[in-house]
Amino acid sequence: MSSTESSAETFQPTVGSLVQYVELWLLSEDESSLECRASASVGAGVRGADGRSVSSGEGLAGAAWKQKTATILQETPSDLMASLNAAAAAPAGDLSAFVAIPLFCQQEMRGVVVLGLSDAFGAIEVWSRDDRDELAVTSGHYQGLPSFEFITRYTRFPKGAGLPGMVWKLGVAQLAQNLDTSSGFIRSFGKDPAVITSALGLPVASQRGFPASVLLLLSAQDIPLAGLTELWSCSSTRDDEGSMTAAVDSVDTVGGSMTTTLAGWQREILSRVNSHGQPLLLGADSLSLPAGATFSLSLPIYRQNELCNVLNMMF
Amino acid sequence: MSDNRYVEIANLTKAYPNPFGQDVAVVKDFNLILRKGEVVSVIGHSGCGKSTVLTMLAGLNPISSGSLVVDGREVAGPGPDRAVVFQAPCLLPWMTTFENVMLGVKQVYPHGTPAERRQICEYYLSIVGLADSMRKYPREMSGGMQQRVGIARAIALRPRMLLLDEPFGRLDSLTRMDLQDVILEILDREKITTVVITHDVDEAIYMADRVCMMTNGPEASVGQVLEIPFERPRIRADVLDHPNYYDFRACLLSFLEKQEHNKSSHVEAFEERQRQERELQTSASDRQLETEPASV
Ligand SMILES: Nc1ncnc2c1ncn2[C@@H]1O[C@H](COP(=O)(O)OP(=O)(O)OP(=O)(O)O)[C@@H](O)[C@H]1O
Ligand SMILES: [Mg+2]
Repeated sequence: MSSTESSAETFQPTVGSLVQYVELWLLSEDESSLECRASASVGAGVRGADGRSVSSGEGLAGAAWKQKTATILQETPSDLMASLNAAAAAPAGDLSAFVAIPLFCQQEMRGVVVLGLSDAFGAIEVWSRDDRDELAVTSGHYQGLPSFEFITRYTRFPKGAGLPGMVWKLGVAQLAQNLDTSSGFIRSFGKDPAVITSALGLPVASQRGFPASVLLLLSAQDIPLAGLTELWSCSSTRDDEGSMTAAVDSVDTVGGSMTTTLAGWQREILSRVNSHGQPLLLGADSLSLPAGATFSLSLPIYRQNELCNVLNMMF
Repeated sequence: MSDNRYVEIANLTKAYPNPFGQDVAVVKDFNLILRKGEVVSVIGHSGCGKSTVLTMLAGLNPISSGSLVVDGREVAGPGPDRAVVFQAPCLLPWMTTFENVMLGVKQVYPHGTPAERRQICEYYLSIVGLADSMRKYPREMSGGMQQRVGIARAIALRPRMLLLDEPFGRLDSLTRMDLQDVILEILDREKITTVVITHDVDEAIYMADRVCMMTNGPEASVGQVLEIPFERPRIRADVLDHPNYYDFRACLLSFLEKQEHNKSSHVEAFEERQRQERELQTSASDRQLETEPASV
């Protein structure tokens, strides 16, 4: 019995997760706009398409699409809350910020995922390359981390340095855990009320194998990103007709360990990602999730045109 | 050549063979870019490879791989365009202060008249506060004064880069502060791109525009770079009074503490990898032995 399956079996829905709300935006058939195909709230489950659609540059999802970078909004649009309340689909916790993550396979946009964050301790950061080819934070959202936020303004990472620099160098997502004690996490110095314990670094919009920017999702032990967060490492093989199929080499679980055996729901997600390469937001009705879970969000991450990671969050 | 990328250190690696003949990268994939006129201090635990990086920049220590470019030119060996000051100044004992400085000046200004060269020596010796000690021999001077000569000798070369390896490491703290100000004054005037290695986090902050924190070796590299936003010219009292001074200080100390805390696990993991590598090699050569017919 692999520990992936055991961690899934013991899945405990975490009402107090950092991510409280999720939207899935996919391109319209003529690729002229992004459509909100589904949304989900912790505690309220998944809703289908709500008819919203944006053009490039419009709204948060449209901005992420146009700028090809993760985009942070540090407020809650009042019309969104009104519509969520009207549909009885508001998340259990208050929302304090949103981040829209565009997913690319080379130049091809595969969709935008919007995460709505609670006001609990944690942070999101967008690291971009500056004029001397170092990573600097170009936008960030911090809760309970004043000195961390301060020092970050003055922090730079050359290629290969720190978690952002590693994501840049390797071109793949990285998960770092036990940051409170590890030497890898070097911006904290113990003055903040929150203690960041895990960090997830995602490459965004890779060009020639190197990400244009790096998104960091930082969370505390008692307020995890999601009920269950997994980072899959994948590798691809090309068949005789030249089409790529990815396999999962390992699954790294936040708060858990690394495994290689996949459960049924994980195999299902992999096969869907392999067939269309888009992000997924699936409720327990369309995916046989472990007992207690209500929905799952999957982000496929590509290096060049090969699937290198799937970030999977379960709620 | 862009002033934004005046010095480019890319994937710089230095490896030495261990007793088993395996290459051990002391420094691996070290990346850093300096703007023209910038002062960068480098901190890191003893033995992590700070001097190794500096001597490679100086051209005194060949690199194993990667590249080192200063002002558009690949570093190929030592040269007067990169002046080095070590912990001990290595003055020639049979020469006066003035003559010690003149030695380098003659090389760099071969076409200058004797009067011009003399002026240059006198100018830089007076800048470091030795106007009255030019005729003294090293044995007649304190360690701090000797180090001043070393600094004057380096600056008189009008280098593109100044490389300082714990230049004040052996001096008492008052002399140390004096000399920090001497160097800062020179740098404010001459805008020389400078790398200064130090074990002192206060010195690292006070002297530099940015602090480069090195991870522990083996395979040491840049862990993080911290921008120091204090204005120049720096006034010590103002820097120490700055409301964020202690945040920068705490950040550097915390980095060093975390490196120290994880030192043994880092070394153990590295040695384990090397042991596995050796085993793989041994089993591969065993297999080769089995298949090869024994030669008589
Ligand atoms: N010729 C050599 N052969 C093998 N190893 C060497 C050689 N020269 C240096 N080393 C090793 O390289 C590492 C880095 O040395 P280096 O002098 O650069 O460290 P450092 O950071 O300057 O230390 P310190 O702060 O004590 O001056 C050390 O572990 C040292 O043992
Ligand atoms: Mg040294």
